[in-house]
Amino acid sequence: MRKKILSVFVLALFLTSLSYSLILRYDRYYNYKEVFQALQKIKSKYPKFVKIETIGKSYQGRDLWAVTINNPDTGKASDKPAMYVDANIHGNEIQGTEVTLYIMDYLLSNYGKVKKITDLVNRVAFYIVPIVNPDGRAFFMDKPNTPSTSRINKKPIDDDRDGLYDEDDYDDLDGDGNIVQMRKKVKPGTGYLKLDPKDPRIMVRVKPGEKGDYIMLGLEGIDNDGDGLVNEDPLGGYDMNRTFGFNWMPPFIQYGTSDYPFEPSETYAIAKFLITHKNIAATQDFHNSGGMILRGPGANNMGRYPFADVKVYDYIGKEGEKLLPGYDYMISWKDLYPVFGGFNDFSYRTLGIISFTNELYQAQQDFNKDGKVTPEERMKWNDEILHGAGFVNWHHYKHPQYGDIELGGWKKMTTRVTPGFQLEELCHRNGAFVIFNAFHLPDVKIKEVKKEKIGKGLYRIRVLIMNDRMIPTRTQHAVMKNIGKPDYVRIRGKNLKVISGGIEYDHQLKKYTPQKHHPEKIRINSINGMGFKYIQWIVKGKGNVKIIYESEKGGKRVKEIKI
Amino acid sequence: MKKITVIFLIILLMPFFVNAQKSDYKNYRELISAFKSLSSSYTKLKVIGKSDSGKNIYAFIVGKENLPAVFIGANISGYDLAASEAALILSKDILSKIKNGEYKDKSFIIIPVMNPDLYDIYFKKPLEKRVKNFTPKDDDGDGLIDEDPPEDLNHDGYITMMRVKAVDGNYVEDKSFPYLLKKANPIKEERGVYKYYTEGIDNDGDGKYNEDSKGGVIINNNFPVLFKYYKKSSGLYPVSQKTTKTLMTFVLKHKNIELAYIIDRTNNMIKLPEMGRSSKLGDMPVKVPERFGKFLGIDTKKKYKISELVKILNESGVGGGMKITPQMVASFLGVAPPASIDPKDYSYYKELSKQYKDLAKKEKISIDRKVKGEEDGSIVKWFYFNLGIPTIAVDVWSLPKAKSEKKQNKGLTIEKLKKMSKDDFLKLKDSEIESFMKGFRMPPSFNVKMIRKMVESGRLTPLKMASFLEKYQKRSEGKKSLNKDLKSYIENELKGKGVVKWQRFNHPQLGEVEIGGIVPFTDEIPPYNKVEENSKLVTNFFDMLVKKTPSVKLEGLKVKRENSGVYRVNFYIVNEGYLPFYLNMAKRNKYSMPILVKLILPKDAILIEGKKLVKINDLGGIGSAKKVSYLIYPGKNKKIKIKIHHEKIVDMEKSINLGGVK
Ligand SMILES: [Zn+2]
Repeated sequence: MRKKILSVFVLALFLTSLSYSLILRYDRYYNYKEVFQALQKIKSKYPKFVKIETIGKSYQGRDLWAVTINNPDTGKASDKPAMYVDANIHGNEIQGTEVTLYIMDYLLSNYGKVKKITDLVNRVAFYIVPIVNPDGRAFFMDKPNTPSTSRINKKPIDDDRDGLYDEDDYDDLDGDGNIVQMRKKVKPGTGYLKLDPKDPRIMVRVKPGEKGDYIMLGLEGIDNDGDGLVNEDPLGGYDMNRTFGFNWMPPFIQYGTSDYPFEPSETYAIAKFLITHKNIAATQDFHNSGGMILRGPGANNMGRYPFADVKVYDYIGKEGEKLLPGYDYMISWKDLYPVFGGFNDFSYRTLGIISFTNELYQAQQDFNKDGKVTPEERMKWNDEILHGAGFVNWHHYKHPQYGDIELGGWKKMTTRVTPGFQLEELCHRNGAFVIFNAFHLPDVKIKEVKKEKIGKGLYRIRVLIMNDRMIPTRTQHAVMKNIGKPDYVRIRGKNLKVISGGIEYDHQLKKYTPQKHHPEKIRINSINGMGFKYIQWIVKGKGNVKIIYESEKGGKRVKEIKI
Repeated sequence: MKKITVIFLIILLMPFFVNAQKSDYKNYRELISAFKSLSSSYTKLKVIGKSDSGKNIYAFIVGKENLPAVFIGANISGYDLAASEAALILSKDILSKIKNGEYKDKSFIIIPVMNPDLYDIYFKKPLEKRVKNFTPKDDDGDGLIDEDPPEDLNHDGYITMMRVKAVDGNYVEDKSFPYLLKKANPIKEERGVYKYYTEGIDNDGDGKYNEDSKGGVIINNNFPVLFKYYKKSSGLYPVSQKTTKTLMTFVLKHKNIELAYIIDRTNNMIKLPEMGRSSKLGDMPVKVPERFGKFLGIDTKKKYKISELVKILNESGVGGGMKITPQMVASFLGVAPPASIDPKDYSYYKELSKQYKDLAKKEKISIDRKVKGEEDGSIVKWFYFNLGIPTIAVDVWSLPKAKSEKKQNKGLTIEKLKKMSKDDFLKLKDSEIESFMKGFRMPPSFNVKMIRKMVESGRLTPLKMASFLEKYQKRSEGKKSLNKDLKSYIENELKGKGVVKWQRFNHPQLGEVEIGGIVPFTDEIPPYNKVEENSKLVTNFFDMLVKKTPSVKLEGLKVKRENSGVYRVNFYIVNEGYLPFYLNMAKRNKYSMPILVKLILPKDAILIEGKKLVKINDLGGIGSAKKVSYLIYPGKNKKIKIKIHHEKIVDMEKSINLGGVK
């Protein structure tokens, strides 16, 4: 008896020590305004660590927010290696925003309680843009939609080339808050579908020899502009994840892009942010759905990634598969489809940053575990897990153009959107992936400085610089294409004359390649993941000597010795 | 009092005076005020936006803005003052033609200086040949920005070259033209003497001279078609420059532009756009989208290499006799952009090119000169490849080709060779062939004996040989001729101007050097009198082009009363202009909004056949027509109306009273 009580007590103790109190709830979704309130809430709880800024406006004039998470006591954000995270560039792919809220909430509520998190927040900076497509999110969450509508931004486009813009969008005909499908019963033999005899909610294609008596009429809507067509020119816009300025292709090659790269103010703002925050060494963006950890190339017309960088990608991607059960680490163009002008490519190819894109969520609907999800199993999910709340049952509607039809189908918060009861786990696991990634931001240390007298007042100074994490201070790609500033190591002293210096190519035999000019400032380009460099100088003089390492993404390190 | 009046009069007359006297290039301000002085009730000079250095970019707009427009863009290079002057002359010509009642249904958008940031450098001392704008940028990748610009060390007002004798020098003087050095060729027993640098000091002490001068980006490489990624002077990404963005947004807003006339360093009438060039495809395995896959019977879950798809498609017969190429598949599946002009569009370009050359001959303006073809990432490429607009690029002047000192060759020539039969050739003496071949500097293995054998066996015909030699000659000429052309131009046309003689200078880092060479822009900007002379071709060819633009009309209207009181209305939408209403590239790119034919009926009328809105997607060249037909049961009021609208045509409206028809 006692033993039992004790163990319960111990368990309770254990639980308290593990529990952290998050400020927000993660079993629900936040609309645009609520995201703003949520950010304010986080900021007011941790004012020292949080900075919120507006980095641009959407097409309809909504603010684009960027949040910086940084501990000012350990340095300015811009002096630290940084992790950039964004989400919801596709307006309907909403749960990434909740993941970003979770990351901020989780990092700050565990700061000072969990050592690994405390160390991380002290060492690196996080830049987070929770919503890249605010108009898309606002419209998706506040108005009737399907799971796939409101992906694009809200710039009007003349889809049917009749000189009018967005004049025939979908309509919530029965006013139930959903845009679903329209189906119509027709004379047997004139349709191509029939009702599934086991479940009349499901439509099946007729097999050879059968007569169909149903047709589908597309998404819920009428002929708004009286041109005889239904839903031929719906709202918006550009697919903004095709508008980035690397391997950009015009609209006739890459469907959905803008007339030129970064035409949408939203992606322009993101690009400007990335270009000006040169300390960003890794990026992560969130989409839905499918359960994927994607890396570029988006298309293979621009060559492959260099070997040294692929090693880093593979390491993080494969570890990610372990943290995210069911997710696959994939290469966009090879394993998914070609994407021109995507975020990921711009971030890595133009700016030299290690970049991942996650496709969040795959519903666990394979009830009989045969590796396939059938329409019946999807219905079971609706009936037994969501208790019928995910599907609008077919019901009669008198349509002005089509006459007697039925409306029905999946609601917008299903299929691609994670249900509330699974959302927190999704946030945590993807947050853990971001934290894993951030943990591997370059961590450079000047490990040792050795001096050795070589006579006639000359000294040999040897310095070991090491990166303790997997992400390099500059990717191989950045070095090859001259992207960003090279890393430098300088030696400085009041009474110091630098006679020669360079990077060692044989440490044991003390051999180095002399740098012809400015030997006091050795260009080392980069330090690989888990890599190191030995620098050697021949100097004359005495007194205090400073060794200074400077890198855009690796930060600044100084060590002093005395000669 | 009298004195004051005189002064007043002089002031009043001055602008006229200055204009009349001016025989040299205007600076940017002067050029724009020359445009201002052209203003009238039907013109507008407006600022369309800013350049990267914050200068205004102007458009001079002639005619009503709802009319089809011809776009004239000059000087995207920025330093091409001659192009901007030609745009001014052309604008004057357009205005005088309008006064004479021409160009009634047209408007004109003239941007005289598309890239104003480099315009005034020609008037600044020291003069430096720069082609990049002033956007700060790390040219040499050392992390420092603009740290090593050139300097005018000898204070002669020019940034020229420095040469310094060095043991490891790898340059020698070009003996025929001492103002230029050339790379020593040890194979020809040339020993390098000099090191060769631009004039200046090594400001950052990295051992390199002037490797990171101010800026910048070449605006004409910053457009998104075939943009060169990773090339610093193209910009970090396409349309990264304000100037580029200002121009593009302006053009995109003006959907009435039907033709672009680009006056700059490029001439695509002398050097036609490339055919047969393909964009990089890679060995990309692609999935076929379901909508095509189903139709073609291709497994949409599997991935195919493009070459595999080509085979499948050609075997399936979907091409309908047309041979399907990898480029077609790639662009159809959206995996590669077009890089080569469409063959049908090309035939229009080729015909225009012929007319351009004929006109040049008539105007006695030489086209035997070095011209630049279309550059990747240029505005010319963007207009055609992206927007599908016919884009004619002309230059005002370029370096004339040196007249080759033709040795009166009594013997064999390429021309003679072309006309020879096999037997004619074999009758030639060995010595004749040998002396002919000597002129080409062919590899020694290519000797008389071998050629004879090849011709004898029929593997080589004299004609084939001639065309091969012609190509070979051109290729080797291209490499060597710049110095030759420049030398001949400076000696014969500039009478020795345009060069700076080598002078000694004591360089703070290099010791004794010599400074000299060619005056910057000598090979890019001609003497002013050339502009007036050559603008005739620019202006008259433009006039020809304007008259070749599409002209869409409603013709052949027929109304017939049929049985039961219904009316049949037929008419044609016809292109009476030479150029097609949409090049193939525009159709392919879907930058081709249809002509909208709207039928307006009284409320109680019934449209039995036909559509209230007919979309005419495109029309071919002259005489191409599309029929529109309605069957109408009229109401009480028998009046109907047809409205035809498109930004690129003159809108039309036709009212028809069916009541008056028998
Ligand atoms: Zn997405």
